[in-house]
Amino acid sequence: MVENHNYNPHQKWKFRVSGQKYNIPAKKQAVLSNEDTLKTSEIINIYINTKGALIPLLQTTNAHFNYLPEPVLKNISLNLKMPLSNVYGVATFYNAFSLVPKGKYVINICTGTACHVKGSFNLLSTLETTLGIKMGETTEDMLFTLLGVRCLGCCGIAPVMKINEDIHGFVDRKKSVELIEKIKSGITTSI
Amino acid sequence: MIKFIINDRELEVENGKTILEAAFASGIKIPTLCYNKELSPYGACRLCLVEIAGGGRIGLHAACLYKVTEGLIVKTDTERVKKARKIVIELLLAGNPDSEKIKLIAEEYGVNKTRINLGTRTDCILCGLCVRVCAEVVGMSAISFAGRGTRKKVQTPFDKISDTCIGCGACAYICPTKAIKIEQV
Amino acid sequence: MKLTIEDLDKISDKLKKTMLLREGDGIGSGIFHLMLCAGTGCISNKSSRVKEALDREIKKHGLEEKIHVVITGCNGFCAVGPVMTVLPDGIFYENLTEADIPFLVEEHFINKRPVKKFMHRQNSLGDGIPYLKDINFFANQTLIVLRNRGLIDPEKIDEYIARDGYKAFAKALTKMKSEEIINEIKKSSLRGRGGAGFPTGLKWESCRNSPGDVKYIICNADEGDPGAYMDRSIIELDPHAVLEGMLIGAIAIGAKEGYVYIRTEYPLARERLSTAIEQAREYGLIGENIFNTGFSFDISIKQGAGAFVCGEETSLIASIEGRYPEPRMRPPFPVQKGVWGMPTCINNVETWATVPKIINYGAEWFYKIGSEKSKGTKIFSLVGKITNTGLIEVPMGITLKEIIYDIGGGIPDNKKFKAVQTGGPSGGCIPSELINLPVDYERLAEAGAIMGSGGMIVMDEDTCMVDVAKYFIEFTADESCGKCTSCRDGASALLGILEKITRGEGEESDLEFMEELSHAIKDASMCGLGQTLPNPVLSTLHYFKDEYKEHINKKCPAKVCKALIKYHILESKCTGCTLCAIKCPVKAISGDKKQLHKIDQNTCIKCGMCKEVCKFKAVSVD
Repeated sequence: MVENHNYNPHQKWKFRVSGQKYNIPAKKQAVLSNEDTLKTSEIINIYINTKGALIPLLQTTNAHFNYLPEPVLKNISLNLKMPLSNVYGVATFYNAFSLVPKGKYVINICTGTACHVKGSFNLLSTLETTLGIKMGETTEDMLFTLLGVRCLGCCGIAPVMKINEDIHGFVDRKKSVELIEKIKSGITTSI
Repeated sequence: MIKFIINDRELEVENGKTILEAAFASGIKIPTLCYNKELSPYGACRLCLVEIAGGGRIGLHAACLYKVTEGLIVKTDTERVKKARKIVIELLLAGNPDSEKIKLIAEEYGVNKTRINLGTRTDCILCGLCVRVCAEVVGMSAISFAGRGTRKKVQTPFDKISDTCIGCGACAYICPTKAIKIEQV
Repeated sequence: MKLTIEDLDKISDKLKKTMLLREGDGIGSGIFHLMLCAGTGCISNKSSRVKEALDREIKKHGLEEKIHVVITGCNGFCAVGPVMTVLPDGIFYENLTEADIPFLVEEHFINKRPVKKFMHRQNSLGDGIPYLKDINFFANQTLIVLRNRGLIDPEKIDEYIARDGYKAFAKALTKMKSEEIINEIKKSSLRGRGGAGFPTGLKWESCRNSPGDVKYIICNADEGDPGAYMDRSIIELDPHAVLEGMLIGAIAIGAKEGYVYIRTEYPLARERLSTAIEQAREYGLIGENIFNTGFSFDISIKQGAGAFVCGEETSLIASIEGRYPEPRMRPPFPVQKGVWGMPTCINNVETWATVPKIINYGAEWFYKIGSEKSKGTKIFSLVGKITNTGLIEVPMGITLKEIIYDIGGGIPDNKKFKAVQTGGPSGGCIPSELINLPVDYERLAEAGAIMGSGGMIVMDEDTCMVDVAKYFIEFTADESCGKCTSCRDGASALLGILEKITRGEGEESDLEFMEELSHAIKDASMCGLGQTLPNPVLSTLHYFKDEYKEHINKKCPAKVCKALIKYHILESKCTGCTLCAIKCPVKAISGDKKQLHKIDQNTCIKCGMCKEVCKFKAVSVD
């Protein structure tokens, strides 16, 4: 226990749990432009009076910024009059939210059971080699983020991969690499 | 008042009491780790498991959460309870072999070693006492759970120095495994 | 425009001819409806391009008056998409591409010659089968919940109304008391289709009897089981059926507000549902003072954010409220204390979609379908190593054999059927010996699996059962909320042992301990996720213990576990084409042109690429 008889509101404290790994703080602090701040307020105003506003707010901001910047979460916390720690807890619980920026193209390899028995784990390792990143990471040029997704519900056409909103079925390793090459060379992936 | 049966004894308790509160009041021992009578019960450590044998939802339940109802039949020390509790203790030991409190409980309930290897270990057992004391007693909510599953942690937001933390040290004080350090910056 | 009950009939009458035509009346009239599938599966196979091509060709031939292209929800036969049915004749085309359409339109509609090459073949030698009703995949199904499959455009409320839509609701609202509705559901023996199979009527009754004026209804569309997509499909093909079911439930329970909690991974389903809600609201079928009876009910969509545990009802409620979505202990059950602390009745999509049919056609009719204790039909997603992958609706009590062989067309590539996994991460694997098992709640439970929400993943000899168990535990270890020690650390511990076994480092004693651990996890955990997470381990240990033992002896019979297999190039077959060496991602293969190639075992990562690309079958695994 820390001796703290003279309470000083300006004093800062570091909370540490032994044995727990810590995030390395990002080099650049996310700063919102005026435009982004306006947009955030706009989104908050849409939901502020609905019951259970937190999740829709996080969804909309995550969709807008492609991740959840720290200042946005602080803004949400202030407006919903909810402790920042609660907002942060919810934001880190779900797969759909990210606290770090994602690439322009988010590749989701379906890891559902049907896709698994049809070898989606091989797709994942092939793309890891092709893109030079591990699952969950983003390429340095911010072009691709590689993720595994639980089940897209397209089990009839397994194995499946999703690039942004486009679903590709019956994907083998060759086809997956071809799709990446197509994007790299500027041919779009949209259907 | 509500009448119910615990370990073949009939007890009478006030409405709204949990099995654990009733058991403590009448001297029946149930092990706990994530329970503190000043805080809302959470039911995470799973040590206080008891068997509901009738009059309620049959099966094993956390005594700290289950509210006594009329005619409930509770057993605190059946074979089934012991088996489940033993594994829970082994799991806690595997993650935290040096904690005095866990070692004490293990000894008391006859677990002298764990057969489990979790690969990693952190001193935190995610019992949530720190999170609850910060929110319910201190009123600051400077820390919370973050993430889920095997990646779950107790953290300040973004793992940064919190603006709300007043450095009271209640979290470090209440931590059963002495995992928390509060440092002045 | 707000409708009256009479208006429902007027809409039906207006569309009567259309519906009769689609049901097969009017062959030879020269009018055709092309029912083109636009479920998520077919869309990803570019059915929207097929639609554009159809429109173009029809216009080119000046047939706009006679041929109508109708976009439908998921047809179920996802494996061969995009699919299209020509009504009223019922001719079924599959694997269509944009390029096929000019020929198809000309042949079928100008030359009046249905095109064989786009028809379904039951086996590689067989002839194309013209009619949908003759294809085994469809012929052996019983469509009740999916009765509108391939017959209506899910984005047109009028077409739903024309197929007896909202009639059950009107009947329940004007002719039945809430007790009567509940009794009817109880009499039908309908049980929850989300997994546990709790009797729906009883749930409604206890919610109705819970004290409180404000009550809620929730449709659980957080279909998290990997390998299952029944709920997505139902919403995509018939969203109004779900809304109607909820409306009937609201009358019975006395709820004023309802939510549909839908996964974020289902954008199309969400879109169709929100269109459906808008249309129903415009018609005054949801909202204030419906049909001037004083009854009000509103439905809104709540979107999930990618967490399996949110399918658990208390976690789902926390998620709707915006709290950290850890499940809490039951009791109190949601019917006593649910969303915003009010009594809440949560049912799954399929359950809600079944309700209008029971009210329309009667509990006795429903009770006659199915097995002794499990009534009605069940929708399954038949996927994995099976020829006809897709979504099927069958009566309860049908045997696995009928599903896998008669409907599913057996296992592809002449492989041996090994097991079928039901119930997702909470379920179990049923081995091939039990192929004659009737599929209902009781028999599946006896066999150590569960009905679950309806995922049915077929596995062949190339599937390693230890790997499957490991797969599911990996899943639940990550998807657990992390609250209970027994679930969070228990899953980690199980995973650790399974990984050890798949590395060939397991011991006989590990198997015994896994069983002990599994039972303790089941007993000690708070919610359904923890209580069922060891099931895949227990069922594979029960039926496939030998396979575990083989792994302990450092062999993976299915040749899946990478630590236990080696790739070799066969001298007798290698032609030295160099393809494998080029494709190997770690450059582990060496050899000169036209010379035997060799794999360096130290560099090989066992990705199997060489085997996949070799045209001479020269790569073997042992």
